Amino acid sequence: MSFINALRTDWSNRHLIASLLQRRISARYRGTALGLLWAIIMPLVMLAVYTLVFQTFLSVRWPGAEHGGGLVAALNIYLGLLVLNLVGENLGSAPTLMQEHTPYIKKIVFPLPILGYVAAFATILPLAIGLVFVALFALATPQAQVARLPLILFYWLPLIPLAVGLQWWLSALGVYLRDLTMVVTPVVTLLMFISPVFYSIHNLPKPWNEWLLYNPLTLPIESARMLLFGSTLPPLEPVLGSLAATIVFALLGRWVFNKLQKGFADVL
Amino acid sequence: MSSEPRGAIRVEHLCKSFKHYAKPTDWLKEKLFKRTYAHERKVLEDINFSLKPGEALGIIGRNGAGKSTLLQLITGTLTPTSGRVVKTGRVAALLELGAGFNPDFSGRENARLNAALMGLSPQEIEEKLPVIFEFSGIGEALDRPVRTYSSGMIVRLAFSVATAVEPDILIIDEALSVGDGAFARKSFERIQTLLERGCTLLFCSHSMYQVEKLCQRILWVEGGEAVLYDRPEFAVQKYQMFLDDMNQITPSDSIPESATGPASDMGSSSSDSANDHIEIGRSYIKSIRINGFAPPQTAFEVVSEQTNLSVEIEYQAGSGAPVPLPAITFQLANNTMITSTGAWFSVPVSGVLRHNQTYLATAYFPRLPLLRGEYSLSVYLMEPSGTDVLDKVEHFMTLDVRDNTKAAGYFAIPHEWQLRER
Repeated sequence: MSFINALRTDWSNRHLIASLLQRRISARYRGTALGLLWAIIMPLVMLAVYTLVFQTFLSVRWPGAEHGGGLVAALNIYLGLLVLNLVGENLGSAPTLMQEHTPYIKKIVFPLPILGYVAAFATILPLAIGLVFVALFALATPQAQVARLPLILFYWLPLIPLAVGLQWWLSALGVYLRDLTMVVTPVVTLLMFISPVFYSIHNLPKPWNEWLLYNPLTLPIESARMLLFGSTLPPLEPVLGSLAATIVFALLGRWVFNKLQKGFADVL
Repeated sequence: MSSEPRGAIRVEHLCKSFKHYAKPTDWLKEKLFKRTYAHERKVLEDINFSLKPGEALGIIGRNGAGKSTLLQLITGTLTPTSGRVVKTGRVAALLELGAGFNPDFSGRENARLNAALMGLSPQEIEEKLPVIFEFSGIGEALDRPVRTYSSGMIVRLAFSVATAVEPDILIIDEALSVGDGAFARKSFERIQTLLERGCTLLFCSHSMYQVEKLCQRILWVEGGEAVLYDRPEFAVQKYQMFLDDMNQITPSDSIPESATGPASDMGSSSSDSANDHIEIGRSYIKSIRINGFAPPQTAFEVVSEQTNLSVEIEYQAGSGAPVPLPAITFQLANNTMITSTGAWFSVPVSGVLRHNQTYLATAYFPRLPLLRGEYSLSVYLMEPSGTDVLDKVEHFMTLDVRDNTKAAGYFAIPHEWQLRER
């Protein structure tokens, strides 16, 4: 099956994706007292704690924040956290995605790859809510250039194929390698430190600042910061390169998924 | 719409082995190193048939014979080990109770999603929803989570969705036996309408009556192999004879599952067990006629206190003792039974009846004393004591009773009026 055909089939299933997405999101918050507020509260609490620790206790310096005080640092960290959370949520949900949908595999005829879109898009909602908060914070921060913020949609474009790709790779492998669920939590913790969440790569010594560019989270995080606080717009070429790389990653994931899904019903 | 025939099915050399892996990683190892890690169990071997649009195939066989696996392979929820299934058009399948329903979501949400899964656009879904809800008769429970539904309600909703999407191929595994009687008849009619429109039907049931009435072809599966592929009147007869023989080999009340060979524990659907008594009784209803009319006609018009009604029931008495007799019930639309009669009340039973014999029982209702309204008829084949039901055909016919007297109620009871001056 060619990728073009696969994507065309996915497109014809867009209504199904939309209604499953709606169900997945409402299922997640249904029954909880605060509902969707949780998507807002948790990042804010984390932000408060991290800002306190890294800003006040450890005094991490941010470029351009010499006169800005706490709000600039908070925004910088928050942008990093949003990207990290997106990847973390995908890493966390993907390995058990197929097990959660066993009836879809065994009882009905279902285009399984679209579950990858559904799970990935569901993690984009907290990101979108987070961006609203970024805008509010930025309005209160004189150094931030709020007008540039909508451009973030372009700079963060690679996150979509990254999330979908992670879902395809890990959900298919997770059916056979149950170990993945064990690995995920430490990997997310690891990612938190080797991604520029609590620091900027501009503060890193050589050659580490260059090494860190291979982390797919670095570019979205640093571009977002530069967008808000930089004197010039972040460069376009790296984003296009990253977009191409993540699309290849996602398509490879789709290929692996298609290969592996033949055995799902046998082992689940 | 298109030039190629919609709803055609072709099954070629279909085989299925279930593989069991001790660990999920064994599957990966098997694919990577091309070595066998699985324990294999054959469930289906070399099944062949083809259906043209509008044809109906009944699949019969004992529990564990591979019927459900065959339907799953044709639906596409299982992939064949070898051989292939070629089908065209939209497929709707009712394979297992509540499959594809999310228990936490309401009936409405599940109906929407199920319709979307069958390829309907949002506009089409909104158009079909009222039809689905009306047919299912679920009422205000529609907005309650499906986990609060009874199994009958789930079947009704699933059936309503599956048939409302106008499938080219409809696949039903025992689903009709779960719903209540009135709905079973309604769905029977719905299936017949779909068949007339050119829908292709694959139907698996323990009710020989339903199979014979709906299908032009019967496939009898035993131990994973096709024993017979024939017209219903021959296939059902041979199948019944086979069951009778099985009964003589194993005189106990139930057939040991081991008798079905390696396929015995292949996970037959849970509804199978509900019908076990019918299969084991091996006495069954062959046909029913009302004043000479038989289904597919499902409604019959009579005039209150004028029409003479005769119900003919042809049935096979099996070898199990004692020889069964038929009973007839009259029900209202809400399923309330208003009257019933069993042949054992008037037929002299002792010693006259023989095993393994076909009987024709006729119940005669002179000047039918039902008042205006709709009544539904069911026939049961029971042990003469009236306790054990060996076969049943519920709600097979609606009596549309007309009358000119406009009396209220259900029955005309024998009576006399007198009027004098005082």
